[in-house]
Amino acid sequence: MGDEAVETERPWVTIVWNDPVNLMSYVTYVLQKLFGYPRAKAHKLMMQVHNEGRAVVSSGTREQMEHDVSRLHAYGLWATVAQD
Amino acid sequence: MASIKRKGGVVRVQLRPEERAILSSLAGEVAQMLDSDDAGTDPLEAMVDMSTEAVAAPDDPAVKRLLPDAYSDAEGAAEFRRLTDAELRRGKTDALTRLIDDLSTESAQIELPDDVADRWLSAINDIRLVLGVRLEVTDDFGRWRDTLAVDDARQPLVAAYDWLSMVQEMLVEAIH
Repeated sequence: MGDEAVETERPWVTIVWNDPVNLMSYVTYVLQKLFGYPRAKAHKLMMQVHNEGRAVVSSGTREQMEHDVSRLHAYGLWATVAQD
Repeated sequence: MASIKRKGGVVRVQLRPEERAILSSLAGEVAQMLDSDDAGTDPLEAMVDMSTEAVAAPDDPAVKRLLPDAYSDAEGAAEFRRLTDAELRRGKTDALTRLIDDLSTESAQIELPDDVADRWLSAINDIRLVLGVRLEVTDDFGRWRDTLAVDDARQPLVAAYDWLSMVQEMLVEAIH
């Protein structure tokens, strides 16, 4: 696997997907609560999810992103891990 | 009519007895769905992360919505589910059963510290997600509901969904 070094350098991201049930206010609240984002940033990400169908809400190591996705699932947000 | 306000550092919730009964009953149903759908994993094994057995994705789309795939590829999703399914179910079931406990008080007003209000929010959201899948809610829900016949069998579910949305909105506003 000669590409492994390159592979691991690509950052991992957590994506939140739009869904018709979660309230906009609740999604903003969860993003603030879990990531410590200021209200304005959380609101902007929520609007991006709402308007574009998805938004990257965090990035880092694969382990960190899996932790973030677990926490988002606990709150009922629809989230996935991906390599950017 | 539900009243939810923040006062004196706590969230004060007033619900009529019938409102408590509905919320409690729905929480019980969702907790049961999460429990009965458990694919026979040994909780002890899961706790110490020893399980090497695959955990199948839930067949029921409503349960699947509560326990979604964490990866778009099947292999990644299966591996993540194997490692996290039991803990996620446990957390959700715990929040739902504790909500039922909180609702069983005799007092007219329930006082929630922020961490309890937060737990209520995630439990109520899970109930709404299940109802949303059952009702096939889309972004056009408002318009769809307005066209629903008065005697449609789904009306009680729609009413419960709307009421839960209102309660959740009030809770977010009170805690946020």
